[in-house]
Amino acid sequence: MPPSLIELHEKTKSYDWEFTTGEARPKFPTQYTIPSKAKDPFRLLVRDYLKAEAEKDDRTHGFLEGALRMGVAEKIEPRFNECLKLTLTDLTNAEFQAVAACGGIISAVQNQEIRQGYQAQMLDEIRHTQLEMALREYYVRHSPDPAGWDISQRAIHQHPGGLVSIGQFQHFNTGDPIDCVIDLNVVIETAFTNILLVAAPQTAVLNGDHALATTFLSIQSDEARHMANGYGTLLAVLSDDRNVPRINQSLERHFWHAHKGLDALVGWQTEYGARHRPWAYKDQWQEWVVDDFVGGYLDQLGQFGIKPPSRLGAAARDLSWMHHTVGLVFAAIWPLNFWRSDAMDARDADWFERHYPGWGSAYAGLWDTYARLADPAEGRLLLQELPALPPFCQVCQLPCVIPRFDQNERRLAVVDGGEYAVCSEGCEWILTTWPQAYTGRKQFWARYHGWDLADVILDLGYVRPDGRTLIGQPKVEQARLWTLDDIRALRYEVKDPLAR
Amino acid sequence: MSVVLRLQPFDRDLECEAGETVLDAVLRGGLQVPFGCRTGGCGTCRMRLVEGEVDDGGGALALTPEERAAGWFLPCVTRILTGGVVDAGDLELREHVGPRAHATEVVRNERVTPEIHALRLRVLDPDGLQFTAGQFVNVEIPGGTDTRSYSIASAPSRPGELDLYVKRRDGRFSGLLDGRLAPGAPLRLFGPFGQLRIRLSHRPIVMIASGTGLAPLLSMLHDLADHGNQRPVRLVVQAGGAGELFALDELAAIAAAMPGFELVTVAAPTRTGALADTLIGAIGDARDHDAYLGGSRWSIEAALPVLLQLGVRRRNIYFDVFTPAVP
Repeated sequence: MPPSLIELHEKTKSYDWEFTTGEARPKFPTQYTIPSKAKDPFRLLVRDYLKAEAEKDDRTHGFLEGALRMGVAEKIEPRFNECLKLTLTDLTNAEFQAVAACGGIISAVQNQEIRQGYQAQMLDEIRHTQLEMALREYYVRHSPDPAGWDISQRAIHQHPGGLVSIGQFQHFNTGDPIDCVIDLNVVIETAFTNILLVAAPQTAVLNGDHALATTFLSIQSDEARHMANGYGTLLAVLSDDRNVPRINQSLERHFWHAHKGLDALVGWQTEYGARHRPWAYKDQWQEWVVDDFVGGYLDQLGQFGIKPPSRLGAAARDLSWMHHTVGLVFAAIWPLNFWRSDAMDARDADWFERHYPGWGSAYAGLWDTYARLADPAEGRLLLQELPALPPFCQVCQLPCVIPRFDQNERRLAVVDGGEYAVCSEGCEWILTTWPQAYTGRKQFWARYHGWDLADVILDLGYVRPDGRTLIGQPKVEQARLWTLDDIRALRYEVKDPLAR
Repeated sequence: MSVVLRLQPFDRDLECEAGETVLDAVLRGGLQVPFGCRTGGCGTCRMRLVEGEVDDGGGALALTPEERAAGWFLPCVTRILTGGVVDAGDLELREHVGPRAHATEVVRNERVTPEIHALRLRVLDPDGLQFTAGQFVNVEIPGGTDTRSYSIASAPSRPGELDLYVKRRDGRFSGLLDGRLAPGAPLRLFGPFGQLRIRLSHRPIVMIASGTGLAPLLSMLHDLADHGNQRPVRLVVQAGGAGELFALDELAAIAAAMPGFELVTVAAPTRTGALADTLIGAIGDARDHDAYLGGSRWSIEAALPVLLQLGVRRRNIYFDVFTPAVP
């Protein structure tokens, strides 16, 4: 009779040894104390893991093949696919950073059972990266306007919206390995991936993108194990009281940062990238972040000293406006985007006003102006109507006009004599508590201070193969596309708002 | 005629007798699952039907229509009609050891309204009775083995002394209020039971109490005050007249300790429609609130649609139903 799964799992863990000839020092040291006992609730064996994942891969790739024959890509709402050029690329960056994260965690945690879980997670993250790259290749080949998809890997390292992702997900694999677990497994994967990978596929299907839904649901089916890795690790470090204040501080930091970055980008994708919206982003957030993560997960850990994020209420208040403001900023800087930024019309405005009362008075006028200026013949940009360009937050990289232009919490923080723009009290606290993690970042506007806007676009390379037509456009349906000549005729000079 | 019920996740087969509830069959089979009120009011024992047909006779009040549609049922009030499969989910099926008993003695028995007695019990175990604000205990009727359920009204920070509020009626337990339950009288308790508890969130709180349904909410208010709560809390108490209000001193102390606390008293109406109008005025805007209810089935069924109308999400409405036991 074959040995039971439990016996096999125990045997796997026994492939370990004590160092007798030298001190076992992890490559990435941690300031937490980690006990030698911990549990992987999934008791995963490599043979079972590979079988399950191969099956999931087959299904996803099989779907993409079928989708080609059925012309699925042509049926996607254009604005959904356009916003994805930024957000899917941002997500692939997260997956890739998570691969490296698992390496660091495995090295730091001297505990075979936890390591086993993270080894499977590392393979998962590689699989997710590959699935998303395959999907992006599918869009390059088959989406109605592939311009932007082809340069997206480079573009996220240049574009302000990409820098949100770069800044966000660097925390997966920099700093203390246990802080990486708290950010990756506890905050991002447990609190936020349901919105991203369960709610977003629902929106995708309503907007015709079954390929995205299939890929995301294949990815999401691995997340339960990642959440379990985080939970197992957290319970292990919580067993030593000395770790508790550090864990709470880390949760506080990463919850706030994740709220800013993810809520801005995912909220924007699911509402401004959609024609058909199943429910409001702020309601999705109440369901998964507040009721499941805070009310369920963190509440259970309260007996061990875990505290809910003190800025939970502030984050919830942000959700009424933050992604709307970010959406308008993305639209205002449309010539600098590597996607087409669609205008919100009367039907959109009606939905927004019903779900976010007050939206009309805050945003509708600006969207009307934006739509009116979409034709190059108008010879003007919404950008020119703004009193100044918004600086980007030194921590979360969002424009410092959130949650609303007229209610923003922008401030200047002083660190070692240097002045840095931050968008909120929470980001100011993060910057001043961990300055070395953020003060080295350069501002997007500082790089192009004094440049003509057309030259900025050329430098970024956001131009179509004819060498003159912009990738970014102010609508998805344009009679005539904007060119570099149209932009140069405006004589718009970029001015860094923080320049002295 | 009996039918076979298979319990997942461990594939335990149980024989259910005709007319027997699923919970009774589980307990008779030597397994223990968490349960509380046994009247469909607290939701502690919830399970999910995988295959088969069940009938709860409309008694599963603690479940939403969506949950029922998704297969959830409350085994304490549900009978299985055909052989089937039930998923006990992450409930741990353990050998039945019975709930923990606690010896107590009566410290205070005072009639606080014409209908309600305040009972203070001292727990004889030096560690007291550890519980979460919102939970209840089953009190053994002296001289027998039957029990009655009462919510704990005092704070979890005082585990050695429990306050209960008991409604006078000619029941086997409440009938003893005027005689046998004098200070010094022994009482045996089992518990704590129940899933009602304060949920962690940022949202303001609205509480609605009628009669002894104030008890679990009082415990929760004490607990919130003990932990320096910053969330606004509005407590709406329905009472027939000033003479029916009780625990006012305690509520004043809570208000002094918790600046965001507000008490609103409203007359208890006699018909549902009037209750809705009264509650709408007393609650005000409740969008993005958490709501906690304590009271009779009638009062909770009346309050639920009002709260939904005022913008509370169904998931954020939490309650325990107070059901009178058979005398």
